[in-house]
Amino acid sequence: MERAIETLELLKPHVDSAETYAVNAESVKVGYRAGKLRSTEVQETSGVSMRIINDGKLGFYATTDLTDQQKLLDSALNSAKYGGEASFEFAKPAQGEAFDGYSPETARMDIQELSELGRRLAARIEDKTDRNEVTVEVDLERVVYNQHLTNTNGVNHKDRRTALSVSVSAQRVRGDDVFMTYNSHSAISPEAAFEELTEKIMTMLEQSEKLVKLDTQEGELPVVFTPRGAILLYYPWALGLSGKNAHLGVSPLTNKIGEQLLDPRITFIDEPIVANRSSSTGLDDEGVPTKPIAFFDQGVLTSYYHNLKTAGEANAQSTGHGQRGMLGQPGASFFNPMLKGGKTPFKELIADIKEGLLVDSVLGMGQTNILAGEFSNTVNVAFKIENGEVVGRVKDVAIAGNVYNLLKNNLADLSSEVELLYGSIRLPYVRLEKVSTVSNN
Amino acid sequence: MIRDRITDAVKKSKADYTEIRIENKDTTSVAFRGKILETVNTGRDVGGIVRVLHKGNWGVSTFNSLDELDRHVSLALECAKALSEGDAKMAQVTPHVYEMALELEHDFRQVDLSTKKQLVEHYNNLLLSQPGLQDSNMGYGDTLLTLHYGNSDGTYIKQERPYGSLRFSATARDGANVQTAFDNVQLAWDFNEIYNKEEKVIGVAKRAVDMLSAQPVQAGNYTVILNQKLAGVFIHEAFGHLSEADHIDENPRAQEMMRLGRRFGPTILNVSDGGIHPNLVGSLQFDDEGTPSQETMLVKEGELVGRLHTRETAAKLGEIPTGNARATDYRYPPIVRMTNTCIKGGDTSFEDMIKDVKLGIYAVDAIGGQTAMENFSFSSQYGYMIRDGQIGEMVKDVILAGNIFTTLSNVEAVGNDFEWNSGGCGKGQGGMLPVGMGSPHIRIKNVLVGGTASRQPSTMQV
Repeated sequence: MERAIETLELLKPHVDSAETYAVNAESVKVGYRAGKLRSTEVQETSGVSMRIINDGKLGFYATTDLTDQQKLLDSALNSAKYGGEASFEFAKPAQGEAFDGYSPETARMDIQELSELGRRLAARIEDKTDRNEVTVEVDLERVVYNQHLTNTNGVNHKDRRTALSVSVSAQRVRGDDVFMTYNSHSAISPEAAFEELTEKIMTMLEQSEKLVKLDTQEGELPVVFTPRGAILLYYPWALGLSGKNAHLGVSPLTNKIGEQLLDPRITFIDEPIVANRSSSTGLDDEGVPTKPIAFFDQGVLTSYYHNLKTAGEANAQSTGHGQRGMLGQPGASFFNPMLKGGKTPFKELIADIKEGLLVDSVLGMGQTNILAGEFSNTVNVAFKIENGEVVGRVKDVAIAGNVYNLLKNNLADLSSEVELLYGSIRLPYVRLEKVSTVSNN
Repeated sequence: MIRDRITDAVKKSKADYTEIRIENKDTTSVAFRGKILETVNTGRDVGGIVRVLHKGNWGVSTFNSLDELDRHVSLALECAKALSEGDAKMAQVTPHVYEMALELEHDFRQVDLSTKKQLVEHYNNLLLSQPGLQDSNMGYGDTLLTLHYGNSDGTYIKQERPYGSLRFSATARDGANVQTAFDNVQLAWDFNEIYNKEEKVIGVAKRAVDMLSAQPVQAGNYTVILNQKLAGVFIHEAFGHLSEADHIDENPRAQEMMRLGRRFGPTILNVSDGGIHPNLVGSLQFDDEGTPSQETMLVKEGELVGRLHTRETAAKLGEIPTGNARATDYRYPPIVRMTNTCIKGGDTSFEDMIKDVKLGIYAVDAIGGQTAMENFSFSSQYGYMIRDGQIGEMVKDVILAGNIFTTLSNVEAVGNDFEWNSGGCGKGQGGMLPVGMGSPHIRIKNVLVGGTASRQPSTMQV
């Protein structure tokens, strides 16, 4: 059904300009928990959202109720009537780089196939652990979806896509010691990384067998973030590089384009097209062509990211970062962000550390003044490094600092290994010197 | 009409057990960022879920189009039949037939969009008139959630749940020093309740400016006093999640760890969860499996006495369903979730609580919390040092770490000033589920407070 076009035609006689975005999706989910496949699910989703501009004012409406056309029209017009000033125009037709996000192999995956993958992954942990203490969960989903973007400038862009997503978690309880770890991956079509999901979990379970204490109760230690742990360092950039935050002057990166803000070894790129990555696209969700951008190029700030609206407000150009869900207004975010790796293998990266921390995840990420780059978090999964070796898990330890300061002044090294996280973010191990650490012994 | 369609489809089902839930969510939002009016819009989200239990296996079908309920029942059954090894059972619940009609004195559905916009504009103008701000947000939202639920036990329930919120934040900046303060009013609710929030709005603006000159807290172990809001988040994270039976139902060691009768805290500590309290965002007459709401004591005089269940976890552990089967929305089957969780009021006044604290921290309001079961963290928005029994200078970045086995037993005093607050809980499913969190002031000794170990400027220097 051409829902996007139908809606556009409905709106057209009543508006100065309009944009419609329709999604329909069909997905299959399988859940495995503690030795058994527990549930399967099929999901059929459809909805449409629209933005209109009337007399220079912007209106928005979204619905999954596709039966009441009059309500849809009235609601959209009413929204524009009271809406805010439209600071932009909808996209003009443009050609993005070609990218095929559809995999027939994924589209064909059924309950049986997902179940087998789930069982296989669970077995790799359950065969090597005690079921009385370790609970394994695997969630699998494959989705086929169609996105259709149209506007009154003549944009008419259809995209058919697939995604396979798998997450695996393990919870181990021994006495009063609880350890939880998980790993997840997603891709357009099946690939080896799905089969490898349990390797990291097994490593984590093994490394956390032994509980150890830090010798330092309060001080500054070398801290190595695993690629997953390094998300803590990436998080402030997602806010700080936002064109909106920069324009409003709340980002610490405001008015700093061209300045050397971070260590020259830091190059942070967003690549909109990477093979088999689900978020890859040649045109963003507003119809603007995407392009790779090194936001930090050897430590120098080069750009902020924008969608049409934030660009309009800041008197800038959209960088092609418009992204939206089925029912939401377009936001702006990265596609496949990457912090480039260094030259040192992880083993060498920690070799000269007498006492340090290896941080895989923290609790309460984002619940600090992250816009300013500040973090102060209890570690969730973290290990002690002693004389160049990972010797055991630590608890009741908190780290704190400012990401921008640390990456400017305290960067020791980046690993040559760069890992893909959650199917989209690529980060290396990051070693920082002198990170404020306290522990409760 | 929906009732007949649900009842018919359930009746025709060939599964051992069938349930259908249909939701209609009508929303309005008005949002300003700074002077800019970001949006004035409405939206509608309609959808449904069929869940069947057949020979111990769950099958689920979710959808937006309500045209083909029978087909979705068949799809759900096919899903369940594709599995063979399940052993899920459901504890018995007496079937209920109940249709609730919402009665509000000032019904927000009758208030037009321009009135809502004007009110938000009023609050926003007030916020913008405060000195020293770099940026601000003012957002209004209302939602009417209509839920239809029927199952093959004979239950049919229609509920209407009204939610409203006003969320506002203020950001102050001095060079690279950027500080944000926020507050919100979340209601389950009548439109009259959205008025007279001027003091709160002015409060966040003042606080953002004050925080520019506050020092970050020095890391270490402190005696802390949590205000009501933060203590509510604390108990949600510290104990609420471990009370959810789905964390332990398949793990014998976890069951041992959480055995009923185990002591977790001093005798002054009493904790409960319940959806029965009137006008709280976590309240519900019936949960998403048709179980009536109740109040469940979790900790009584320091001892573990109960936990939260769906019908499945209750059957598994041989306990009684507690009315805690909740789903974020129709896209998800229900799992064990909290409703309104609280530390019951005690008898210590705030003055008595603080007077013998030599060096401590008074931690106020919450940014959020997170739990990894045994360990958890919760972040306050701001705080004050306590010196020799007196409130001292303001401090920022007060992030507290806890451990379920030590932190609860370190609770030293429970205040006589109980208060409910509202929040959202994300667990396993996308989006936030509204939950109530209640507590009086509480005092806890020996809490690990993060932060920089030595005094150094915490702002970015570039």
